[in-house]
Amino acid sequence: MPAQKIEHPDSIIPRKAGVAPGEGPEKGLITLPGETSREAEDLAGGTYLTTKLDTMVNWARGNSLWPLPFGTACCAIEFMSMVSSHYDVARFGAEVVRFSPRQADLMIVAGTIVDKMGPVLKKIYDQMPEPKYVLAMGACATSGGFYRVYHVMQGIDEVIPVDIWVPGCPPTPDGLMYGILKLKDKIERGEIKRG
Amino acid sequence: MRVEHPKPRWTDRFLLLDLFEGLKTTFYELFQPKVTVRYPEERLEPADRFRGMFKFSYDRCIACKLCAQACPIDIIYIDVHDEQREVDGKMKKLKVLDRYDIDVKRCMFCALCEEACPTKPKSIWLTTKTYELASYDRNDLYFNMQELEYWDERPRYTGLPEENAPTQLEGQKMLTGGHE
Repeated sequence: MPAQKIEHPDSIIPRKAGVAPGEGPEKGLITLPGETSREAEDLAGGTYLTTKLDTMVNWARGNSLWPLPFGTACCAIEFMSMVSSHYDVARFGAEVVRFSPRQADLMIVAGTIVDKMGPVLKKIYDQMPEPKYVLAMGACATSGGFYRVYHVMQGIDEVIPVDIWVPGCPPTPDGLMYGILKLKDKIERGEIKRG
Repeated sequence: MRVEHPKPRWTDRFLLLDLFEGLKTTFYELFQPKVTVRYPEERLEPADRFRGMFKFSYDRCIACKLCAQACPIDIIYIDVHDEQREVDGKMKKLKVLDRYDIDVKRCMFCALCEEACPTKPKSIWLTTKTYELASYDRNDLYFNMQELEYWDERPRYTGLPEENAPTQLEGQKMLTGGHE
């Protein structure tokens, strides 16, 4: 499937288009969280059961993102802060931090990934069961950051697919939580189709 | 070194009193005030000197490139050309900005560019208290001149569906500031 550019109305960046009038979910229908206008059209087409099932599955997936912290640097400290009580990501069902990739849904790559770490990252990503999502946290994982050098990976999308990018050095716990919320939105809208 | 443990009494064994000894803390904390900030609804306001997302002012900028020189990782890209313009009745040679891009995905928010800026008030500053920068696409984190100036003209993300989200045309108008 070719990569599609996803336009999200909730972005803070104004260049992305919002929801045009008439494109939103229609009023009067039973709407579950994550339902889009496309699914509303499918309703009329008689594919009620499958679309509803997809919506339910996406809703459940979005609300139970068990993170795997791939913390190699200081960003992991902010991740700990997000999990603990002042920010408390447990409100979104992502509190069960799993250090085994076989039990995790969301891989939070927090920190500098040097070239030697690349195969390890790929291996751990491959060990995660489907559906799996990746969040690149911090400047280093996103783009290499200030390590503009030969031995640091300039963005982890060189080895694994990434669903959401959170810049910052490091991002604040709120900023990271915003990233997880955006990822949750994306999953619930059914825009990630893998596995 | 030998550690002497107290011999457990039979009451401890059968009534599990040790368990409740530990649970005392749990019950105590249960009635303490909650510290959690409910993020999408409430927002923890950063301190005044918090360095968040950039904001740029085209009108104040004098195109001196000092910020680009101060940047430790060279992520500010500036292109300038000279132009003859009439200022106060005299023809003067002025520098005009063609390009002012910041690669925010690489930035470490050190605010050295803000310190280097000679204009008063600063034409680039980081005290916007904004940290919601997550993006679905890596290339969206590369901000050009217009985006640096107008990114905050949208309401903040609240976690709730936007009823009055701007249309594409309105978004473009915001982006260009109404010109063209």
